[in-house]
Amino acid sequence: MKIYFAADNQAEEKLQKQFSRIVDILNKAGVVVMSNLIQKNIKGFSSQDLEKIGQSGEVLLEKMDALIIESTRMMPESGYLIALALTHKKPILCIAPVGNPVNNNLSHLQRDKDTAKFLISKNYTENNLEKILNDFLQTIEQEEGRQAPSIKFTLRVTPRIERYLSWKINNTNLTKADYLRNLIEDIIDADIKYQKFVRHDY
Amino acid sequence: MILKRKKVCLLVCSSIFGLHKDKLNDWVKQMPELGIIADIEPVFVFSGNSIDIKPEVWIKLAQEISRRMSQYDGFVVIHGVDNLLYTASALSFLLQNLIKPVVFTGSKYIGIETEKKDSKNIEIKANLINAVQVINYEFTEVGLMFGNRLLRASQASTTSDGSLNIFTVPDAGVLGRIDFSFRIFDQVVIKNTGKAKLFNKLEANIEILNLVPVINSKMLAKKNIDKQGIIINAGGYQSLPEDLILFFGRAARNTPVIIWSDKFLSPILGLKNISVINNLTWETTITKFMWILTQTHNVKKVKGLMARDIVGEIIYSK
Repeated sequence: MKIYFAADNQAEEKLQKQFSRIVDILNKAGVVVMSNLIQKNIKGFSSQDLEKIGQSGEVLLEKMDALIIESTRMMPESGYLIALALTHKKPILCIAPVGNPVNNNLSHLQRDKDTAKFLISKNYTENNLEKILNDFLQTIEQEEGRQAPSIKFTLRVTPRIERYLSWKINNTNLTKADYLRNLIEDIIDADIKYQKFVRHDY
Repeated sequence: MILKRKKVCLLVCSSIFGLHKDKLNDWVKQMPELGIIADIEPVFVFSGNSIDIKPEVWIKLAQEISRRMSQYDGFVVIHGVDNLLYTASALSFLLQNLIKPVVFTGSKYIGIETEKKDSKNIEIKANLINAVQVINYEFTEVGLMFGNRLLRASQASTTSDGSLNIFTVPDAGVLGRIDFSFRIFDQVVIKNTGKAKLFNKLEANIEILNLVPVINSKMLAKKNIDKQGIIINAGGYQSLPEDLILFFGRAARNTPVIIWSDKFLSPILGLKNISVINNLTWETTITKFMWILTQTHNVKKVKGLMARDIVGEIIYSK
């Protein structure tokens, strides 16, 4: 999963530490985080990917699964990122420490039925920040339509594995990719440690 | 959490999915995402399809923008793809010394009925959001915002690769790019100061010809007796036929003539009224010539102005 995290890179040190914590939590949850805070913020893309995206006219935000904005101090481009993410129907989490009211423009979007379903706004404390982020990740995974496999992955296999997969799907309606997907879904369901992790029982 | 509000005038210059003039405000309201970037006020300029846009609409558009220059932070023009390069290029000459951004955008689906309703909505909405975002930067040119690039309008031509980047320019004409957020390339954007200048006229009484073997110089002489200028699209030709050279040298010696070709080798010695243009796009050659002819008809001056970079339109080869 790829997430773009935007926050004010001119913010005071205390907030910057909070931003680092957010990135750490997301990384720990297995998310590839790209951010305006990280100088080389395109690590999730190969140079070929970037060239292809550049030529196609798409923007990198389209390739993200979600957008997270730390909105204690709204940056000039925050509104733009939110607008673009909404256009591409990407889930958005806007977070600010408890005591920071929601921006008027955001409340306007939260009242609109078409945009509200993509926009979550939360106030966080030291204690609940991790839960808010993990809940958001769950929301992204559970979102309708996201269960359709859409993420491309290059997997190189040995002739032995290839022969096995061919034998395994023989006389079934499955493709090799279907068989592998089903296998991984079964592994996820049976992985108690992972289930605990996503339920935050750790 | 305070966002600086900008005020953007959205000029609609093409039929958008058959939208009626009265419904324009509702259409903008259907895009609450835009409201988070700026306050948008729509203005209706032309209701037909962009293929029907003529020089009168270019002038009307320039006047509408000029009239509102002090009231808005920038101007976004929605335009169908057909004729867009002509309109945008004409605006570059009609509105000189710009001090506010004028950004053309739209979608290849504007004015076309398609089954892909969702994708066309996303495309136009994304282009519109990107165009409105340009208003937040120091940008004082006429630009095109399609796909992930902001381009200098007077250097743009159409691509045929089917991507969302419908238009292309030489590298020096790329004025901004979007990766995650929008980046403007300050070093290439033209900086203007002072007051924007509106020109209210373009000379439309010109003849535009394609150089083909069936051109008859006698017919041409009859046809062009009252024309203020002639443009010849010489395409891949390297020289002019003898009878045309004679015609331009005698009957039309006081008429400015432009030969547009990047292959032209013949120097056309001795013909003071002929300019060979190989450093402008086709659309800009026409609109620049139309603008110049409102300034002068003197063949020498016309030639000089055609060679001069007026609004950053000249494409310098590497």
